[in-house]
Amino acid sequence: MSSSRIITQDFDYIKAVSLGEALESLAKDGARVFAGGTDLLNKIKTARDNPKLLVDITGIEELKGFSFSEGCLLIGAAVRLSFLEDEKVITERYPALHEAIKSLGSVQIRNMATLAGNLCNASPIADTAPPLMVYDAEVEISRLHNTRIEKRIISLKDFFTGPGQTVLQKGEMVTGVRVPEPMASSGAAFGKIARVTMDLAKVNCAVWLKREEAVVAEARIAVGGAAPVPVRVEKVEKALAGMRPSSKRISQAAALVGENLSPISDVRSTAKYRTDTASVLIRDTFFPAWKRSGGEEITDE
Amino acid sequence: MEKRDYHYLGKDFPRKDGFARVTGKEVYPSDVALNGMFFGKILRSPHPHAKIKSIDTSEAEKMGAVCITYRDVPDKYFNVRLVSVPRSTYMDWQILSNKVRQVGEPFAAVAAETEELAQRAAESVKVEWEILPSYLNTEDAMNATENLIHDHVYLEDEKIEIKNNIACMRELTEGDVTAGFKEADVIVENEFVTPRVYHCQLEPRSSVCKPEPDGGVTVWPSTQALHNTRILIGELFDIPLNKVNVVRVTGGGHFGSGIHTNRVILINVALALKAGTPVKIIPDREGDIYEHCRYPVRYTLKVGAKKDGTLVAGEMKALVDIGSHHIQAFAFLGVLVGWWHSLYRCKNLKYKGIAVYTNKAPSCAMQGYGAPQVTFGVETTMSMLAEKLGMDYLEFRLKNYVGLGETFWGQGPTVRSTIRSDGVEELITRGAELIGWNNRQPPEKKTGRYRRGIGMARGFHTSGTGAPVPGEVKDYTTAMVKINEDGSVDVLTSLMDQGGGTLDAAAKLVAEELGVPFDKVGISPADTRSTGYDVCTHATRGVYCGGGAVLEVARKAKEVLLEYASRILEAPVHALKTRPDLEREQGEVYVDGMEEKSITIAEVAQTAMNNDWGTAIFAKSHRMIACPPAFTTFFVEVEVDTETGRVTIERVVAGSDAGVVINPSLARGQIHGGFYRGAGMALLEDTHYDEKTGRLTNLGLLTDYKMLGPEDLPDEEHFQTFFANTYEPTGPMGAKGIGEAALNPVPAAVASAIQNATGIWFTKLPILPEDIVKALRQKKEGIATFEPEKDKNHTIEREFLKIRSF
Amino acid sequence: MNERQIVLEVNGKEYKLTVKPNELLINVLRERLGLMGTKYGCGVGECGACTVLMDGNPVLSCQMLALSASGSKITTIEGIAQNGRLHPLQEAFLDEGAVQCGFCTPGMILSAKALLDKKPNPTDMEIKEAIRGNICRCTGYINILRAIKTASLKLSERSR
Ligand SMILES: Cc1cc2nc3c(=O)[nH]c(=O)nc-3n(C[C@H](O)[C@H](O)[C@H](O)COP(=O)(O)OP(=O)(O)OC[C@H]3O[C@@H](n4cnc5c(N)ncnc54)[C@H](O)[C@@H]3O)c2cc1C
Ligand code: FES
Ligand code: FES
Repeated sequence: MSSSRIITQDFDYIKAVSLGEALESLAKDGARVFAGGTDLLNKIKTARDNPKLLVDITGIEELKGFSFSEGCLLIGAAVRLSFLEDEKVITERYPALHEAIKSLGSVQIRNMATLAGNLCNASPIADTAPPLMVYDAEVEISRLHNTRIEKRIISLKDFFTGPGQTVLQKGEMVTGVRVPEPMASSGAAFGKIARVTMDLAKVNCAVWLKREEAVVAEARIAVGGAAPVPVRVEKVEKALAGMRPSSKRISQAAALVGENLSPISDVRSTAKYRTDTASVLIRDTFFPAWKRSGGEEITDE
Repeated sequence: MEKRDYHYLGKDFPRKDGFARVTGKEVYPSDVALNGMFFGKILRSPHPHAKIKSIDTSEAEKMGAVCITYRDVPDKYFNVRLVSVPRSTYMDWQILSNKVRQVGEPFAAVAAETEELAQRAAESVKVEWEILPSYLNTEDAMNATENLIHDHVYLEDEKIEIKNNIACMRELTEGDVTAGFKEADVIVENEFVTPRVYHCQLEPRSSVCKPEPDGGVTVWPSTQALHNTRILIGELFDIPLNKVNVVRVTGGGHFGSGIHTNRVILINVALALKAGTPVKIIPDREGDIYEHCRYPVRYTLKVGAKKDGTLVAGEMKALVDIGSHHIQAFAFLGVLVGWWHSLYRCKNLKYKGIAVYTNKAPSCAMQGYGAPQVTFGVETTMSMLAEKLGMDYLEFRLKNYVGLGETFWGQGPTVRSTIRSDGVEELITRGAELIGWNNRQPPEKKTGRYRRGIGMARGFHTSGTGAPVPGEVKDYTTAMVKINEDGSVDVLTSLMDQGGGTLDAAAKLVAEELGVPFDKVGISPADTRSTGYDVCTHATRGVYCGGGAVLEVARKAKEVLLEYASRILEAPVHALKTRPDLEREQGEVYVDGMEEKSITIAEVAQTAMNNDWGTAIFAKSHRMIACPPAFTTFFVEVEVDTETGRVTIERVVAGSDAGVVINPSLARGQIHGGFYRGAGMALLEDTHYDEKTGRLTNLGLLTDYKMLGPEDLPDEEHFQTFFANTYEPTGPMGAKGIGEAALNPVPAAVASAIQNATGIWFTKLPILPEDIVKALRQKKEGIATFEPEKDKNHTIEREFLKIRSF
Repeated sequence: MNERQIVLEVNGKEYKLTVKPNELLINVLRERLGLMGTKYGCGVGECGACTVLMDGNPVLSCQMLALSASGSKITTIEGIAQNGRLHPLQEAFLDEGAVQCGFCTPGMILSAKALLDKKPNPTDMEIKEAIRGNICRCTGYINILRAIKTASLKLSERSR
C-alpha cells in the first residue's frame, strides 16, 4: 500500500556539489541519481522503487553545461528540458529534438525534468530517444575508479537494454549527451501519436534524412512504443535509401516497419494499432524531414 | 408573467465567491484545519471479492494510531443516496464490512497525528483474506449462483434475496408494441454501449469531522447534499439530528459524485468518534477513483416508423453494470426509460432494465444521470430512421420531439409535468444556420485522408424533480431571507453551488425581487443546524428549484418590508414598489405614481427596529410543482484522419433553452464544460478492469485516465453558443436549468459528425481511434454500422431470456 | 532521522524549516506553512493543481522534495495579489467567468502568470500550451483562455 499523496519510504538525500561527490555517493547500496525526479518520485510513490539514497545532481555546476562547438552539441545531465526547448541552436539545427521536447509533458514537467533523465528512465516511449537516436547521439557515462573519474562514451542506440533498463552499471551515471552536428542537406522531424496532446506516446518516431539532389542518400528512423526499447527500423531505412521520394514509394517503405517491431497491447493502445500507425507516422514525419533537408515538395505522381 | 427588463438577470457580475477562489483563500474540505486534528487513512481492498479471515491492527495501535474495522462501526444496512423515497431505496451498504466487493473497497481506517504516521500505520495492518470468485463483467455475474456479491439487501424493512447478482429490475409498457411494429414501414435496431466514465472531480472527495463535547459531531464534507448527509449520519450513529452539524464547504467539483454521501464521510465520522479528536481524510486519487463512476449502460433499442416519419413503436432493453453497491440503481433504471420517453413521441413503448452487481467501483449519477447514455442511442436511431426514410434529420426531429403542451418525465415514470416553454424549433433552426447545415455533404461525397463531417443531436435535461404530484424523488428547498438594518440582505439556504453559479443566481433573484443593488445581497455561510432541508443540488435543479424557493421566500420577506414601509409612507401596501437606487447604493421603496414619496430600504428596516416592529425576515420550504425540460442542441463539425483514426473537433454550435438566462457568462461556461466532458465521453474516457486482478488498468493514476486538454478542444472562435428566447412561466423570473443539458446530447452529436465524415455509425462509446481505423478497414461501401464486439453467448437477448427463467 | 534544515523564501517571506528527505514540497506548504491554496489533485504530475512558481517558473509541488526546493524562491497563489490588490489575472478570471469550482484556479493562474511574465503578448496557441499541464474539469477551458488573454491585454496596456 502506497500513496501518491505522501512518501513513507525512508531514504537519505544528498545534494551533490561536484561530480566526484555524486559518483562517490552513487557507489552506495540503493543509491539513485535524482535529477528532475518526475519519473523517480512517481516510481517511489507507487512503490515500484525503494531507494536508500537519492543523489540530487541538479546542483552540480559541471553537469549544467550546454555548448555547441566543433560540430558537437553537448548537453549536461543537469540541464532541464525547458532550458533546451528555447535554445536557438536546438530549434534551428536539431528541430526533431525540439519537437520532441515540446511534446513532452507540460511546462511544469519540463521545468523540472532533464534530458538525461528521460533517457536513463529508459521508457520505450521516451520522447527524446527517437530524435537523439537518429541524430546519432552518444551518451557520456562516468564512474569513479579509485578516486579518479572515468568516462566512457557509448552510442545511444546501444544504451537501452529493456524497458526501464540501460547499460548503466552500479556506480555509473550519465553525465552528458553529445549530439554531432547534422550534416549539410540533412533534415529531421519528430512525430507522436497519443490519446490527447499532453500524453505519453502510443507510438513516436523520428525520421532523419540525408538528401542528395532529389534522392534520399541515407535515412535513419527510430520508433518508440512498439518494442521493448526505442528501435532503429533498418528495413525502412534501407528501403528509403537511394529513393526518389513519392508519396506512394514512401508509404511502401514505411509499411515495412512492422517487421522491426514487437508492440504490446496495454492501457494506451493495442499492438495492432501501434504497428499500423507506426508506418503512417513514419510517412507523415518523412515529409517535414525531407523539406528540412532542402528537398523539393513531393508530388503524388 | 412574462419576460421583462431586469436589473441583474442576464448581466454578468464577478461571482460572489470568486474573490476567495482566485486568491487561494477558498476553503475546500481538504483545506479545513482544526486544532488537535488527526489525519485519517482508508485501507482499501487489494482483492475484487474476498472476506476478511482475520485482521490485526496491533502494530498500528502501537504506533499511536486509532484504528477502526467492521467491528468498530454500527452494524446497519443503508443506502448512501437519500434522494429517492425509502420505498424505492435498496440498502446494501455498511460503513465497513468483513467482506469486500471490489478492489479499492474500504475495509478499515486509521487516524494518527500526521499523515505520514497514519500512512505507516495503515501499511502495518495485517489481513488474512479468504478469496472469493470475482465477477468483472455482467455475464459472469449473472451466471453466478453462489458466492454472490450480495446475498441479500434491504428495502425498507424487507429482506430481499439476491439472485444471479441482479440488483433490481424495472419494466414499463405503454400501448401495444407488437401492434405498433406491425404498422412500421421501417425499423431500426441496434445495440449501444456507453462507457464507465470517472467523474474526476479535481478534488478527491474529502471530509473533516470534529466530535463535539455534547456527543454530537460537526462535519465538513465534500457533498452535494448537506441535509441528506446529516440525516444519514444521525441515523447510523444514533445521534440526534440537532447535534449533527454538517457545514457547507465548497467542493472541488462534483458532477454527480456527491449526490450520495460518500462513504469517506461516514468512515471519517466513525474514526473521529473513536479518536475523540477531529480527523481529516483526503483520499489519494488512486482511492477516489475506486469510489464512483458513471453508470455504464448496454442496451438494445428498436424503433419503428411509418413512411411519413411518425414513430409507431419502440423497445428498449438495458443492462446496467452497477459495480459493487447500489447507489439507487432502481431510480436510474427509471430515468433511462424516462429520458427516452420524453425525447420523442411514441404511443407504443416497451422497456425493461436490469441492474447487475459486479466487483467494480459502484456506479452512480454523473452529469446527465443516464440521459447522455440514452440520448446517444435514441439520437443515433432517429438519424438512422430519418436516413432510411429519406428525411432530413432536422425535419424528422421537429416532427417527433416532445414539446409544448406535452408531458415531460423529469425523473423517471413517477415525476411528470406539462411542458410550458419550448425553444426546440429555435435551437434547431438557428443552430442549423450557424453551422451551415444546408451545405452538409453526405459521407459518400467525402474522399481523401482527412474527412470533415457535420453532425447534430438534441436533448434536454429536466430542471429539477418537482411535479404537481410528488413521485419517487424528494424535491424541495428551504430558505430564509432577511433584510438587515442597513438595507443589505442575507440569504440563508442549504442549497449547494457546484461552481455553476447557483448561489449567485439566487442572489440575483433576491436583488431583483427586493429592488436592492446586487452587492447588497449576501449569501450566508450555511450548515444544517441553521438551515432547513434541501434535497441536494442535482438534476439541474439549482436555479429552477433552489432559486425558485429563494425567490418565493424573498417575496414573502418583501411583504413584511412593504407592510413596514406602508406605515411610514402612509400608503397601502399594494401601492408600494421597490427599486435599486444606484446613486445611494440602496434599495428604495416608493409609492407607485408618486415617486417623490420614497424611502430607502435601510430606513424602513431601521424604523421598524427602533419602533419594535421587528425585522423583515421570512423562512419557508418551497417545492416547485413542475419539471420543465431545459433543451439543448449541439451541431458539431469534426475532422477524421482516416489513417490514424484521430478525431479533431473543428467547430461547435451549441444552443440552449434555459428560459431567462440569469448568469450569461457562467451559463456559457456550463455549455463549454458540458461539451468538454461530453466530448471526452464520446472520444476517450473510460475505465477498464483487469479481469485477472480486478484492478483498474490505469492503476488509479491520472497518467492513464486521460481527459481532453485545452489543445484538444476548439477555440472560442469555433465554439458558438446561443440561447433560445423563451420564458418558463413556472420558473423563477422565467428561468429553467442548464447544467446537465449542456452535456446530454454531446456524445450523440460527436458520433453523428463522425458518421457524416466516415459513413460509419459507431454504437459504442468511446469511439477510439483504434475502433475507427478498424471500422474503416472493415467497411466496404456506403453506410455501415460498427457495432461493439459481441460475445455470442452474452447477448442482451440471452440475458433477458435467462431472467425470465429465474 | 536524516532531518535537514532548509531555507525557503515563500511569497517574499523567509522560512527556516527542518524537513525529512521524503517530505514533499506540497505537504510542507500546506501543512507546515498553512498555505492551502496549493492543491492536491493527482499526486503524479498530471493535473497541475499543486503548481507553484519556483524562481518564477511553474513546477509541481507534488513532484518535488522539500529538500530540493531549499534555497529557492517560491510563489504560491497567496503571494500574487499585491498590497491587497488583485493581480490582473485574478481580476480577469473573475470577470470572464473562468472560475467554477475553483479548485484548479490557483495552479492555473500561476501557470498563466509565468507565461505572461515571460511573454506578455502570447498567441492563443502559446496560452494553450502553457496551461496544458493544468487540468480544469469544470470549465472546458474557453473562459480560462479568454481570461488569460484579457489579462495579457490589460498588462500590456499598463506597461505602455
Ligand atoms: C505528468 C508527466 C508527463 C510526462 N510526459 C512525458 C512525455 O510526454 N514524454 C516522455 O518521454 N516522458 C514524459 N514524462 C516522463 C518524465 O518527465 C521524463 O522521462 C523526464 O525527462 C525524466 O527526467 P527527470 O530529470 O525528471 O528524471 P528523474 O525522475 O530524476 O530520473 C529518471 C530515472 O533516470 C535516472 N537518472 C536520471 N538522471 C540520470 C543520470 N544522469 N544518470 C543516470 N541515471 C539517471 C534516475 O535514477 C531515475 O531512475 C512525463 C512525466 C510526468 C510526471
Ligand atoms: S497534484 Fe501535483 S500535478 Fe496533480
Ligand atoms: S473550475 Fe473546477 S476544476 Fe477548474
